[in-house]
Amino acid sequence: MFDHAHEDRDLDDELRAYVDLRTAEHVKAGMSPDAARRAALMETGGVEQVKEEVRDVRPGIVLEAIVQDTRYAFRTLRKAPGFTLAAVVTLAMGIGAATAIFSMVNGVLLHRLPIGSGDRLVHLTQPSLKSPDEGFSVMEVADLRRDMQTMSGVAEYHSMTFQLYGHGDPLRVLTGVVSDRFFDMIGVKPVIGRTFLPGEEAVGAAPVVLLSHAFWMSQFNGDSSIVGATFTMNDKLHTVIGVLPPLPGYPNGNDIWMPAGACPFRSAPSMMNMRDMRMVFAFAVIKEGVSLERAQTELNTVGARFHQAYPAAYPESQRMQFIAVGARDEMTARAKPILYMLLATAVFLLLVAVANVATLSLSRQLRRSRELALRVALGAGGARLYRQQALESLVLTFAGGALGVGIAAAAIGLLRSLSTRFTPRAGEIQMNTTIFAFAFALCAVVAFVIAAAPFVHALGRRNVANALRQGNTGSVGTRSDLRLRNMLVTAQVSLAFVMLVGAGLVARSLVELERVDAGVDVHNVLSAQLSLNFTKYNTSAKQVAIASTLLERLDGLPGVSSVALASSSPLRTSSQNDVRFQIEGIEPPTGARGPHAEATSISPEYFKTVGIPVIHGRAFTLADRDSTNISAIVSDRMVKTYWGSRDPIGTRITPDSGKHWLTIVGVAGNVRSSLTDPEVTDELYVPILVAASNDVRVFLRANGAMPPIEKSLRAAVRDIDPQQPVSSVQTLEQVRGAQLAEPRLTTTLVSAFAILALVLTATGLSGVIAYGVTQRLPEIGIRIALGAQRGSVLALVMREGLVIVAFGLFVGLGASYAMRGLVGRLLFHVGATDLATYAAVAAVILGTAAIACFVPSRRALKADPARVFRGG
Amino acid sequence: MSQTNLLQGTLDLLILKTLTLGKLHGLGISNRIEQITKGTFQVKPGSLFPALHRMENAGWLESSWGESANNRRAKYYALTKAGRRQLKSETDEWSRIVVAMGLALRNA
Repeated sequence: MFDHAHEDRDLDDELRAYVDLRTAEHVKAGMSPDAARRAALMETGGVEQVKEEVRDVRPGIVLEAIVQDTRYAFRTLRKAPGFTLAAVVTLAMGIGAATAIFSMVNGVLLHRLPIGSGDRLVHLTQPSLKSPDEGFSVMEVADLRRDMQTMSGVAEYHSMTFQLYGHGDPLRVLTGVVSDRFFDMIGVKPVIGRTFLPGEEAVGAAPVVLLSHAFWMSQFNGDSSIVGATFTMNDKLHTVIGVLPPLPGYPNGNDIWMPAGACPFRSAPSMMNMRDMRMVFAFAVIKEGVSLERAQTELNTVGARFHQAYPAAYPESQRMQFIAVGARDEMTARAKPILYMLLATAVFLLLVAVANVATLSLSRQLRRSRELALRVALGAGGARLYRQQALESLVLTFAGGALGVGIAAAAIGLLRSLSTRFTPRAGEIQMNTTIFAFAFALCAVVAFVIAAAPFVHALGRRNVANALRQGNTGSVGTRSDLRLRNMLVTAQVSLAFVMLVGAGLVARSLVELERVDAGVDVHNVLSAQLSLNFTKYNTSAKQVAIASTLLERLDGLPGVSSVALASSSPLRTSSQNDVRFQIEGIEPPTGARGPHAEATSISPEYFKTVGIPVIHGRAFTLADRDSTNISAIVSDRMVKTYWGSRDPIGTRITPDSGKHWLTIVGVAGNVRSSLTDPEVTDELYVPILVAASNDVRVFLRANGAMPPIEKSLRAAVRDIDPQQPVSSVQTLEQVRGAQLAEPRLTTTLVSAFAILALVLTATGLSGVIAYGVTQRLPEIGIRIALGAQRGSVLALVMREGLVIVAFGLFVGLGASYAMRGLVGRLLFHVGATDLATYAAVAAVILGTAAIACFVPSRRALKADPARVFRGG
Repeated sequence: MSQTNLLQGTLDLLILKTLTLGKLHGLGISNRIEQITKGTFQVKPGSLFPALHRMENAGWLESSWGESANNRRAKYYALTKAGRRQLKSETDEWSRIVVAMGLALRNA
């Protein structure tokens, strides 16, 4: 198609014939043959130009020229490997970062929920004055299901642990316990088997389980013959009826699911028949076409009716109400500020990369101006030249884009697993056609922008002859070229400033977080969770007995200096057991919430093992096992809040309006369970040998290596109860680290992006100075010859760079301030306009800029006047 | 010698018109146009040849190599059927424009 050799020959002949005929005419008119030929050629006006213009009207010429120009682009890029490599790598970083972060945003924020009911799934909450969500009773859920007209279904949900036997070691399985219509309601179809049938939630129905997709894959390798298999869970044989598709780990990352009747606690008559025994959560699906507001209005009406009908279940003083919260919002609330911050940073990095490559290609353009001017003079069309440069940008950008998408694809697994720290939708982060389309569109825009730089430059370059006349520097730079390039570098400085401020702030915030005193000594402590089989250890006596046996058996384990048990772990992020109590002889303040604290059952050596100081009084001993006169220990701040100046030791408190009395025997140091919590957590400790629990945590303070200790812990537990799983084995340092995982991730990514941006900006700046030095070499040579000092020469060439930096800093400062809200939501104990951070970033940029300017400036000092004057 | 710039599209019409009497080579077309317009239009090769090739690609003209009056090889262009149709429609169009412009200039 593109072989025009024959046509070209034909055209040559035709034009030659034209000139010959014309010459003949002139000769006929009386001219000498030579003069006639010259005149004919003159009239023709450049045979090559005519040929070029004829070629331009050939069909398919545009496509053909593009193919040619693309080949040309590849060829010229190959001839400039340094520029090509720098540009491709820079763009790869920018496009890669933007694509990777967009894949997170796309997976987590941009889609409706991957269930049939989509965003119509709502979490019903029941806030009161004393709790943000009291939860619901089984009766309330049933009544709401009956009454709510705007909702197509209301279901109950809670999560608990079962033990699964008969599949290797006993497994602790997190189990979602739901109404039998739950999956039909939210619109989830099983990948194999079936979901629950109406009636299966009845107490005493045949026990069935559904497997989550992740559990099925990890435990059974996706074996589809699993349907129909049976497993003993706690005391009953359960039949697997189906496997669920991959779903967000919401409300919990459950391994398996059971119908509501499977939970003996929830199914106890006292729970089922009492309107104010609230132990389950409620989920509902709003009917198609009904707004959340309308559903909420109906909830208010129905709520008011409930309050009127059952005043005892809704004490006026508690101001209880039903509130519907979108499930999608709940799943993404924490992710939003993090992802917005990451997205902004990635976009800025991309902008810096684009500005950088545009600067590079503009500089290249400046160096090539003579060549380009020559080609214009030789008949190359301006449009064609511009197209060639645009294609060069296109080739660079798509090469960079392909590399960038490769980087993003390689990083996506890591990003997905890190995202589980802040959203249950992390599993939806994946490379798909949307991401590729995004990357492609991004490349197109970037290529256009980069191509626009030489175009804008071309508009500024009006005089071809002027370009050709340029002397020994081999380059031209009109004022407008330089202004554009300096603007690009200024933009890079500003963006780098904003990014570094963001990175600096989240980094400072992380340092503050790392520094938070949780009140415990997390070093050298191994912790493990023993979720007791609640059907086997179904009385307090049995739970106390196993706790006691564990303490005896674990005492003196090699490498362990002290052993403790507790009903929950320090540094847990959620409240486990908030208890209200009254202090004997102190009237509770009216209206306010009254004394309350997180109640934790602990063994005698708990404080010693996890490193909480006993400030006053004493710790528990093995003798504290009298259930008629229970000892208790309170944390320090509570004393100040509730006892004031009175000595709490010896005073009594009651958690149940006088049925039981606890005597305070000691005061322990404050702890903070959530590191970001501005307040310490009030704790009420009771002896585990009196108030045992089904969730037992083991703590071992080690004076040796952890792995053998874990091994002997597992062996000891197996000796005591071979059916008891040991889960969540980790050091307290890891427990603490889990709380910092998300800020660490954010800080790492934001800082990495910011540092890349700084490096790119420094190279851009360096380029500007290097160019300036080349331009002014003759001037500098003269100055040196006239005896100018090194300092003044340096100042002369560095001045331009420093003006750019100063202006960039100024703009960056304003932009950072304007964007303070974006980062503010992620910060802990650091203001979004933290002066120290701003100052430090300005110093870093100035320092980097000084180096970036100084390195190329040195060449100016070496300028040899003699050489310069010779025109070298 | 006074010259008038060819209106866009006028060149095509002139070329088609000059070829109604028979085939001509490039220079012949150029001379004929100059002649029939009494020197008002001089068509330079830079405009003529791209136009000829474009019109040939459009199927209005066909070309062949032949001998000129003084025994020189030259490429001759002739009208095709499509070319005659095109001439007719462009002529009609042109007449309409002339009438319209005339009216406009007289009455304005």
